[in-house]
Amino acid sequence: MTTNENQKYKELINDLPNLFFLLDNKNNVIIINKVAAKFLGEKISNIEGKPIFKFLPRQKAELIKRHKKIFRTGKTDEFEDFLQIPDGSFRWFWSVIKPIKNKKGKVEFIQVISHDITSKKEAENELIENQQKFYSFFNNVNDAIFVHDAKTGEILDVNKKTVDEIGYSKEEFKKINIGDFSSGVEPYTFKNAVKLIKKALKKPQIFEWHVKSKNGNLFWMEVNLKKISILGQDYIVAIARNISENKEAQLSLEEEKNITDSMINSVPGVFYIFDKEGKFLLWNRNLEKISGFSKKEIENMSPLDFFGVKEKIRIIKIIKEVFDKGFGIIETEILTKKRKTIPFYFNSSLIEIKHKNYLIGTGLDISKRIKAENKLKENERLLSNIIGGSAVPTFVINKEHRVTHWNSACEKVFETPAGEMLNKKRLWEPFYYKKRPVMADLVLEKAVTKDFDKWYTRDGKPFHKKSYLVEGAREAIDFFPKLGKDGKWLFFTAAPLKNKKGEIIGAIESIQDITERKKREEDLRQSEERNKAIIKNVGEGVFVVDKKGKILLFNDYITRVTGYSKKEVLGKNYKKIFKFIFHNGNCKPKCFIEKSLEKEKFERIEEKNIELVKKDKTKIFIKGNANPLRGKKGEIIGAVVVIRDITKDRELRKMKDEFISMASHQLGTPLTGIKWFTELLLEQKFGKLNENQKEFVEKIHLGSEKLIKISKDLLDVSRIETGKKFKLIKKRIRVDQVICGILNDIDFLVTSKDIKVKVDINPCEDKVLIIDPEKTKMIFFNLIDNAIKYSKTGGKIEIGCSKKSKNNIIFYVKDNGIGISKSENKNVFQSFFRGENIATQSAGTGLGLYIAKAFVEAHEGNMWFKSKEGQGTTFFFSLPFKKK
Amino acid sequence: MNKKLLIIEDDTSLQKAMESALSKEKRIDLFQAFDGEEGFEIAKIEKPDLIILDLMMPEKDGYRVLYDIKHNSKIKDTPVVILTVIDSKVSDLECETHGAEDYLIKSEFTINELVAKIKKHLKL
Repeated sequence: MTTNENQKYKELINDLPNLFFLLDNKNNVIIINKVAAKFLGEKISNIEGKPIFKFLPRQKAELIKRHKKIFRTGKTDEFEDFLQIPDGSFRWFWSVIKPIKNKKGKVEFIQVISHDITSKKEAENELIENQQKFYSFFNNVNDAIFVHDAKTGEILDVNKKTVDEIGYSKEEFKKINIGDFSSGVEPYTFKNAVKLIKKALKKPQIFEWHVKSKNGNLFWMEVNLKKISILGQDYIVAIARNISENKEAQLSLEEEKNITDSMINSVPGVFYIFDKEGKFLLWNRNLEKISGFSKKEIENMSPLDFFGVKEKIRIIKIIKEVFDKGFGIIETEILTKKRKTIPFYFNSSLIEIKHKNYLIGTGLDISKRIKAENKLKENERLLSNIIGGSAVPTFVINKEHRVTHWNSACEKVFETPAGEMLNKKRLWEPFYYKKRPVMADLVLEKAVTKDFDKWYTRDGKPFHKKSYLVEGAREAIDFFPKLGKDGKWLFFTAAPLKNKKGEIIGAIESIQDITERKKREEDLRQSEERNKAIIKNVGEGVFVVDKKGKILLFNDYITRVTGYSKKEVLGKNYKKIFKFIFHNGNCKPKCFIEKSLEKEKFERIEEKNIELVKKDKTKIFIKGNANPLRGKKGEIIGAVVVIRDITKDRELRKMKDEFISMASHQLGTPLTGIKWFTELLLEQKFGKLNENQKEFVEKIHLGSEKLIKISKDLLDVSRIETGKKFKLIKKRIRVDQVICGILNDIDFLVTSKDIKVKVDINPCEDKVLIIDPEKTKMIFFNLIDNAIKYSKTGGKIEIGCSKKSKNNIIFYVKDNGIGISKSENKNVFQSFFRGENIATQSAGTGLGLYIAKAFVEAHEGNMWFKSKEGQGTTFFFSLPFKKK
Repeated sequence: MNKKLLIIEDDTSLQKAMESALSKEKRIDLFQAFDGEEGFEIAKIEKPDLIILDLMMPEKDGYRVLYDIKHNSKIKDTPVVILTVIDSKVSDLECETHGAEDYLIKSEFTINELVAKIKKHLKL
């Protein structure tokens, strides 16, 4: 080389940005450039000619080795290496060592050109480090990562997780496309995946992907697509997370949410959850529908916004209450968006969601209820008025057996004010001594007969019964000793109260005080008992018939007499049972019962021979009468019939008759004998009698006549008593004739007591009587005989007549004797009556008046008397006369 | 001509009394029977102008005798007067029915009245 060439060569190498060394085979620096010298930190003059190792001590061995190789082989060497420069730092170089050969071809020098590639190397290292880091991360991250070609979507790389999750190896992944590990079901297809990748170029995408693993399992991954640039190249990185579990949870959560949603939306009213600040967390569709506010609006509303001004205060209060106490109920009015008010009922409570308190509640539209309530209130008022105004004690109980109505009649009758009864369950108190249900309680509980039996039975007999009038109601009559002074009899009826649906909502009971009526009934019953007892014990057959002849009452005697039992006879018409046989001639007399009912008066069986046919077909003679029964207004309601079996009587009577007849006849004949003989003696045709004898015989005669009369009387009396009608042998006879006859007969009577007789028949002496003269004589005789008997010696008797009535002449016989005492008045005409006050005075049979009266009555006349004790007696009697 | 009188009466006292009373009557022939049978026989034989018949007799009762008399062709027209003690069953009607002329109640007549009555019936 020439020096010029050398110089140019030196300039050239100094311009090199790289380090330049020219080294001989002894590693001495022949030439070094500025950069190199700077690098080594020495002047060029200091370095040239010295071995390079002096300046790079650390690399000595390596350099020697390398240089030796190049000297030997003569081949160019390229290598990277880092060198420590004098300031201690390390720098990377890329060196090219070129051997310089001489003309012979032997390497004389080596030319080293080193590029400082430190930054590049650092960058390289960093990159490598990063790459390593990245890979480490790439492979250890728990998410599956894909690196896609941004344009084609091709998978360029996947991480370990991906391999684990999906199953393909890295190599496989690079070969397959996304579609191969997608479920394939729309939208999880390759096409869509590419779309998403394309979208990711602009904006990161997050979505879920239904992945299919190599072995066919399907699962869900959440995918994050993002664009990254590496070294100017765009890639799409997909980070996917297996969210299968989550997805299941999410799906079930979604399902749950759906369920919850449908639940809260099926709540009949509104449903809501809001926090203490009044922010709505959840609500149902109804809230939107009813309030008229949209979902969006509600999101931004506070609960108070649903109410009008005047309600807000209450709402605030109740919300506070819920958050404080845990629950709250309020009835209020909501205000809809269209400013309409609706009555609502809210029921809210406190809940905790994720450690935060919320108010959860439901609300119901109660406008219908309010309407119904008002209607009910109206009805209640009406009912109260009706019950209250009723004069019948009435009370009402509700479903809880509490008294809701207790009217003023109740207060009065049961002596318990409403205040003590209303809304209480003390119904038993006014009535019973011990707590027990009242009839309304039982009816309310839909009690059955058995239940009623339990409480309303006495002496084994139930005394309740189903109400005839009211369905489902029960009634009973009972005595309550606790009420009033001596207890009350009550008739009570309890009935259920039903609503429109027919459900029992209460019970109403009305009560009547029947104490009075019961008392009267009791009295009536007692008197009936008495009457029955009387009838039963009366010695005669008594039965009672109604207007039509139906037998209502019947005593035991009738059974004895007729042979028919009560059962056979009661309720039947007497005409069908009792057959009467009349032995009385041709005409059929009407039965006395019939007559009595018809004529409406007392009818006696007049006929002597009425027989009754007994049950056994035998016949008995009866006597009896029928007396009409009158009702309150005096109308005929039936008759009382008395019947006596007189068969025995008849027999007795017959016997008596016969006896008396017999006696009389037996007496009569000897008495007549006595009489006749005394008469013969007194005639003295068979011998004269001295005074004494005459007297004696007269007395005997008198005696016999008396006896004859007595026996005659006896016969008459017996006939009278048996009711035999007298055979009146009626003759027409003038009054004066009668009297004359009588006067003859009484002569001996009068003289014995020195009685004066006055006769005054002027008013009627010429009247013609139609009488039985014998009997009439007897009448007079008996009366006069009586008058004389009861007169004192020297007394006066007056006989006379007066014409007072149209068809009768009234005769009188008056004496001034001892009279008849008042107490004996009624006995005067009795047979065998003898005045007490003359007991000893005369011998009388006591039959005279009895017979006289009977004879008078046989003539269809009447006999009566006037008397004053100590002053005298006047007997009157009437006899029929014939008008001219 | 004397009238025949038959008295049928069982009582001896009465018969005696009547006999005594009638003993003064010269125009009367007295026949006496003490029972019905006897009386009937005597009646048939003697055919009296009047029979006084007592009703109450044992054995053959007065009515029976009356009946027999009235149904006997020989003596059926003989007037009969019934005697009885007390007018129990006797009446004019009964008399007529039985065919007696009249009836007398013994106890009501004095003996003389009886005699007078008899005499009347005998038309004396």
